[in-house]
Amino acid sequence: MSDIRTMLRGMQSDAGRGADAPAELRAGIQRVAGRRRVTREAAGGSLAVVAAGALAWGGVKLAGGQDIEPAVPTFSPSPSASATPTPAPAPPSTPGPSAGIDVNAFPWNVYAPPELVPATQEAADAGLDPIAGPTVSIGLLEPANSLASWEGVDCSSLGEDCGRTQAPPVSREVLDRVTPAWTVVSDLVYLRSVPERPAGALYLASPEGELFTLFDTAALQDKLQSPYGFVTDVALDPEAGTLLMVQESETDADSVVLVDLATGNTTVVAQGLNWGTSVERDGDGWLVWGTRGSGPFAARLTPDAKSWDVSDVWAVRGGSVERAGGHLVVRSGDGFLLSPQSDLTLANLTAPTAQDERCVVSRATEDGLLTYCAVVDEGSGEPTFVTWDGSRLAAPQAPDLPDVPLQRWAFALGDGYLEITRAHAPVAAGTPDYEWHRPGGTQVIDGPAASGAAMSAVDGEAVWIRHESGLAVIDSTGQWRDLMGWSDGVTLGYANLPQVLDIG
Amino acid sequence: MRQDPMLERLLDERYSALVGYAVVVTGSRPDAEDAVHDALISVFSRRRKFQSLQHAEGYVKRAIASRFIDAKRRGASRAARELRSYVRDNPRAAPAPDEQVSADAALGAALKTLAPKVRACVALRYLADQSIAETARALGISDGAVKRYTSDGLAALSTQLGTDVTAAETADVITGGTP
Repeated sequence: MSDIRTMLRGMQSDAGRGADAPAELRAGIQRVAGRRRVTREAAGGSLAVVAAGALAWGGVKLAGGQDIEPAVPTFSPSPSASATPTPAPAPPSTPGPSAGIDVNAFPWNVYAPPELVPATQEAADAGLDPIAGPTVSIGLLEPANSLASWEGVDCSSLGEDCGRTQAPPVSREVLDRVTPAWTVVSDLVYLRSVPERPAGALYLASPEGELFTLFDTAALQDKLQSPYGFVTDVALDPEAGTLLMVQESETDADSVVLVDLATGNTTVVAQGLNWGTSVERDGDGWLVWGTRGSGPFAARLTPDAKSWDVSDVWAVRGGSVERAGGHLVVRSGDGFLLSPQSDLTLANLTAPTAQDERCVVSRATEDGLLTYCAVVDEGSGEPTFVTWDGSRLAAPQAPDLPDVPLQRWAFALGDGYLEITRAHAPVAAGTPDYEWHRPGGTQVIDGPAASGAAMSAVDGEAVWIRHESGLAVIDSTGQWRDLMGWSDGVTLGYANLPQVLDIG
Repeated sequence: MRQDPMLERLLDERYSALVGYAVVVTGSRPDAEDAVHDALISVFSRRRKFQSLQHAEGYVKRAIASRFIDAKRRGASRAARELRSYVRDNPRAAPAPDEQVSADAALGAALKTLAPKVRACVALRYLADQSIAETARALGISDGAVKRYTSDGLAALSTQLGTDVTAAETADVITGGTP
């Protein structure tokens, strides 16, 4: 057995031996980099703000211009909950069943043909390893507690990845105002800098630009024994005051966790080796779906998240599942399966596609699937519309921009896909940053340059955190919608991996 | 022109390590040097404030991988060509001796069998110690794709090298199950 890190480091050391940058090369690098910097600064103020790296502790400027108060050390309870603010419950007394997983024994690389598993408890086990009901209560999560814990940290040793955005805690009154236009945003501080002190938080953002702290994720990471954990998805039930979220660890273990925002009580609903678990509101309850090494799964949770609705559980061995065009689309190495959200029953096995294709499924309709392979598949694929009878038709072609160093992403948006061009370097004049490819044609979306923006795909739509200006959404009509703006020199905390996790 | 001291430190102290890292990513010394130069220009043209050498090196390593993937998609980058125009008359650093290369020949050959994106994921995750999210961000792919590519990569390397190639993990994993 060989450790990959040891092997690679040995190779790196040998391969780099003798490499030296001569004086002329150093001067050339400095000169080109310096010239580009000047070019960027001349291009406009917004770029200059990013280049300056002006990350400073401070308040967040709202859309209306006023500054919000920093977080206070209380958590506003629901009217139905105890009137005593921030009671500190005892540590967990009944931890859930736990056992080590031999990651190496996991069938990582087995791509069997799709095999439907009957919707039974066995299917639930195959998909989720569900924990029946609450098993771990990790207690109240107080935003102020972990915020205070940062006061003693020497930020100078951590560079720009230190600190956190301050925002008042969410309250029952705030939750009552939540509409589908509200968003949940995470602020993840670079955990590797201080693995013993993970820091991150979830915020609720209003369309008016207000920012409220939902809770701090640091305590959760600690309690779940999940170092380097990331909150990757959330679904909020403002009426019930609960939030279902997915936290992913570096060991590929996804935890599905229900948070009672009124009490702060947190319950682990399921844990397991998953690749990208997602959660959504589903009527009064929740829909949980994702992909394990053994294949995709989907299941419904009751509103209190205490039990699975196993009659609607399914799992497929092999493949993956993703959200596209309002549908859950199950994809395997051999073909596609369609599963409408309103009915988890799997149906419509498509004609086989090439096993080595790794395409973004952008749109699923009654007629077929619009797939876009050019982003994921080394540029060799073509946008294609695959009908359910196996016919392949031409799809809107993304423009090619030769010789321009770019990164590109494609997100499902509305009835097509949004292509984002993010420039590492100055691009040719007239190069659009956002192009919306739809069955009827391609539409260029005007807006701020993508450079410097952090992007998130939320429930099949594209959401943006712009370091230099604030939070914005490209909605399903192709329009930019600004949610809030930062005050000068302030971003969403010090996070280098901010995400928008949920809308509405 | 004002010299960037952090860039100077990287060139002084970490240049050979960056080239070695880039060899793992790109599979060849010339491509690796181009990738390093290209990444340095990209990172330091933005005037980021790096508080430590390690911090700056992490940015550059992510840029090396992402730009390598971009170059695979788009062909040679403009920045690389510009830099070559500055240094075309200057000799490159001497290549590594054959005996040093041969020590890693098997691993290098195995890495070359991996798709560029898979190789980049393996390098970022296990050599640059980047998180899944950081790797995904650098390469413009999803977290799930990073996991799949890295696991695919380890499996392929195990096959190629005839040994079980693993990545040591440090955290306990708690699994569920009906109580």
